[in-house]
Amino acid sequence: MSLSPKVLVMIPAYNEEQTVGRIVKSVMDLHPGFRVVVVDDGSDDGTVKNAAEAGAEVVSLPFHCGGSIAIQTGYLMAARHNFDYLVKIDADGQHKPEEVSKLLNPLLEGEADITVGSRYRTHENNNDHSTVKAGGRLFSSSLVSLFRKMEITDVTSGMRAWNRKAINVLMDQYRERKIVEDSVFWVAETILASKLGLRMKEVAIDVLPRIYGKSKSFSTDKMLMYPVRLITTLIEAVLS
Amino acid sequence: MFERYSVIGVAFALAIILLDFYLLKKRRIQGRSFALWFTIGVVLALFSTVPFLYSLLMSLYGTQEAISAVTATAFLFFLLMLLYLHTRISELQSLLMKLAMEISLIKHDREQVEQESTKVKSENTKKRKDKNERKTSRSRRKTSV
Repeated sequence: MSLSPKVLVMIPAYNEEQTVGRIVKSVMDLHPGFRVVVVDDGSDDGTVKNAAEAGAEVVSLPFHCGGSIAIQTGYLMAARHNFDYLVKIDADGQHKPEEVSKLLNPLLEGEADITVGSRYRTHENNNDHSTVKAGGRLFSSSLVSLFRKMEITDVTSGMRAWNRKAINVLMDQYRERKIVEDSVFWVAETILASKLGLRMKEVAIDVLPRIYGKSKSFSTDKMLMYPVRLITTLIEAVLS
Repeated sequence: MFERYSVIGVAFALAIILLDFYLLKKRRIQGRSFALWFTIGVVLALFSTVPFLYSLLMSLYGTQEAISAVTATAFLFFLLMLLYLHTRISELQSLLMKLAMEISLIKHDREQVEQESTKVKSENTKKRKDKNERKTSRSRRKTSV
């Protein structure tokens, strides 16, 4: 019997054919013992083909459901297949696969149940060129820190890792709840995790600029609606 | 004689109720929706035939015009209806997304099992082939001896 923990690396992807194969390959080269799954969110380009060719398992959603559903599919897979740890990195090449271990270490040492990669824990490569985006991130991080009396600098960060306890607790909650909007998913989850008593720890990471295409999380309408959604999420958290 | 509005109102109410029964028979609406539209039909029929209900509404809103009272009531009713439909859509959207997640995982697991079984089958075929080859070569050797 193997004593090494079962780790699942999930890469949610929507039309990321240019980068997904490279990300999968580098995760598999760096961590040969980990299982890598690409959760395809109904892509209509070569994402599935490229991910499979690179050696990843592919879970394909039947249609474009949104990022939060792709992430929850990863949780469900980790819970169903009894993985000890789950790590999530983006398919657009902004997260460094070599930093997966950085996220896993606090979990392996039992220091936390969830680790969040923060670009603001280091002042080097945060690649935050857009003032609006950076302002939004800092504003939501400050609000959540104030609201939950916790210290979080990058609440919208999508590079995270969970241990089995966190996966199971969160999955139980998501089973009962309605679907959370993609743009506030991490904010809602951070609040939820803190309310459920899960221990969170931030780890300094570098965020690289996008290699190809445009960010799907920051369209103009999403940015305009973001403050409303953020406030709604906070109100919901107070009421629930 | 009935007023014209009463005739039109009752005709609409009857049409709604009949359509409601037809849709239920064809299983195109669920019990909850049937009950809602049946109630709407009955209320419309009542308002069309009992003028006293208008005076009740007028005194409730404090207006002298029946049309204002009816419009305000209809507006509030449709607002409630919109909220109800919105809630139902959200619930159904959540269910749809959960279903999509389940389908994708089941499909993935089935593919994994199929891949495994293909692998095992090809290994077994190879083993059988090797065994047969060994047998043949042994019998050839025996014959030559």
